[in-house]
Amino acid sequence: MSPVKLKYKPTSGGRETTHIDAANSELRQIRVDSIDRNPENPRILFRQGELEQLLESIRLYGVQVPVSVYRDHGRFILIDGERRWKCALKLNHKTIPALVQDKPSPIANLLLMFNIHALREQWDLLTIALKLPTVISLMETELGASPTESQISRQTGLSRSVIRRSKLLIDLPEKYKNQILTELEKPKSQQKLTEDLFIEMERALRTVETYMPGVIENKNRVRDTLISKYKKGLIPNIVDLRKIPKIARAEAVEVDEARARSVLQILFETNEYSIEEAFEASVSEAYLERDLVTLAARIDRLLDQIEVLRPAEIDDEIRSTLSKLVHHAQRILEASE
Amino acid sequence: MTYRILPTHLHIYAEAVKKYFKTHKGITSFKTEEPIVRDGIFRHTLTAETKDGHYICVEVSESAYIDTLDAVVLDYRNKILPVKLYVAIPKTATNTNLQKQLSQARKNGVGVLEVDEKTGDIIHEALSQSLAGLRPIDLQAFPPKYRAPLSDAANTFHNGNPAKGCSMIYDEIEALTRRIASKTQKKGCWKTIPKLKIDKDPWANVLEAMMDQLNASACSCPELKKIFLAKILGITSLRNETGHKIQRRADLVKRDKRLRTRFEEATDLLLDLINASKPLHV
Repeated sequence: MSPVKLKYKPTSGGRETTHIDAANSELRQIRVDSIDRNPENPRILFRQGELEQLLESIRLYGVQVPVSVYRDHGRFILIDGERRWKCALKLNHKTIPALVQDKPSPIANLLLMFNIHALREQWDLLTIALKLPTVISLMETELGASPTESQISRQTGLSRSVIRRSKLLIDLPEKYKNQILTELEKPKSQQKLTEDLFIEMERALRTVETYMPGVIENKNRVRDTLISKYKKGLIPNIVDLRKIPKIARAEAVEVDEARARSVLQILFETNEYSIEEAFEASVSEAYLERDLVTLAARIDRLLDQIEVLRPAEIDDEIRSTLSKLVHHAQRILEASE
Repeated sequence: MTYRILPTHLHIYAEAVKKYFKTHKGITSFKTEEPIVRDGIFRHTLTAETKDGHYICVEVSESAYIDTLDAVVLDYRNKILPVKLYVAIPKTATNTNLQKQLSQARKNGVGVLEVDEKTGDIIHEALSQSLAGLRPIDLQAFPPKYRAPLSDAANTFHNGNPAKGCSMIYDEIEALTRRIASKTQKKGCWKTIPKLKIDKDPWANVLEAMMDQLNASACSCPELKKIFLAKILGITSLRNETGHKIQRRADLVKRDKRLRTRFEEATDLLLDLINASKPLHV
């Protein structure tokens, strides 16, 4: 693992370090009982099914990969390996192999967590989101100004898109964050109210607020309505939520804004009205028309390119593609006559 | 109570388990995530000790049984630890393998408890692992008339009354011995007829008379030799031994170990006696 170098100075004196280098650490067998979990670990969810599998593996083969810890007041604090440690503890192992490192500064500790875990395995987005405000606040203290998205990305190792998605979740009212947490405790296959659902919903509602102010009077009520429609199957797919911003931007496809506004108002009321119905009743045709215009323009550009092709330049692959094109064009023309 | 291993969302269920055991079994002092013995191979979510020397271990989990418990149960049986192991599952748990897990738990003597935030319901009770390790009886090897009593004896043993379980097997051996004595006497296979009431005199007296008088080859039962009958005589003193109230765990471990061996030996002896007396059709 390459060292994580942090440009920040330590926040307190003593033996804390801002430069964590696993190569300088010491591999030892340490007592399982002398380890504590890292309070800064953003990972707060440990699904039992996954733990059970690891438990059986460690029972049979032992801990094959050392955990990483640092010393603190005579104890060891985990940097990496909470699940392995929990399993070793459960199996009453006396010791566990560990890489003992220097104590990091608070921000180095937190950023290390992100760099070790979030890059190595798929974390639940909400767990990242819940810790991001702490990261941002610590970085603010160090920098003396709010960090930019790219600075956060560089230090945490998270992509900017993950940071943006996390921010959408951070801003959710507690009630919805708790709903996601409850859902995340279930095995992946049984999760219904996923982080993706809330992210798509928030994006859609933000667009509506921007393009059609006043349509959403009570955002929580709208959220509850959409969640209820999703649970009932009236919104069969999360991707359907992307049609809401399209309705909100009705003006872009020259559809009467008042009509789109009224359709959204009905959609956001508790009833049996689906997104698909709202889309059909407002902007569906206009978007189809716009798509056809775009398609025609593309075909024009393609024809220009085909015209300049010389037969000698055509290989088997292009010949086959051209013949497919002719075949499809003929079929469409015949059907439309 | 602090849980280092138990996932956060299961903490409320662990608390509900404590309430259940306090209300239903009077157990109040639970330890959290501690091994029951120093060299134990598992830290259950909750452990406690009962006045009669049993350990109560409760695993709070979303699965009614996990594979690792096979090894844990085996360890308790090998060490003859009087452990009653339960798995407590949340009532709301969505578990597609529940039936299979329940059957695995039952097979291994592990009790299952369903809990919500306030209360619990037992799905099936736990057996003491020091007794549950009894070798299963191969009922098919026995004639049909013995199968129900043998099953009852094993259940009695498992359900916490091992002395009575053994005694039920001895009852079968005694009854068969008396039938053999009576039949062989009637068939004229005894050298002399002693003054003995086969149905009423002590079982040991009947066996001693058989050892002195029975001509095994004359009744086409060559296996009913003196040495075999002496083996049966050896258990007659145990026949009426009743379980005393156990005060210490060490005594409980010793008793369970002794009675487990005794039950298995008695079952083997009954089968041998049935086979040896087959020509008599008793």
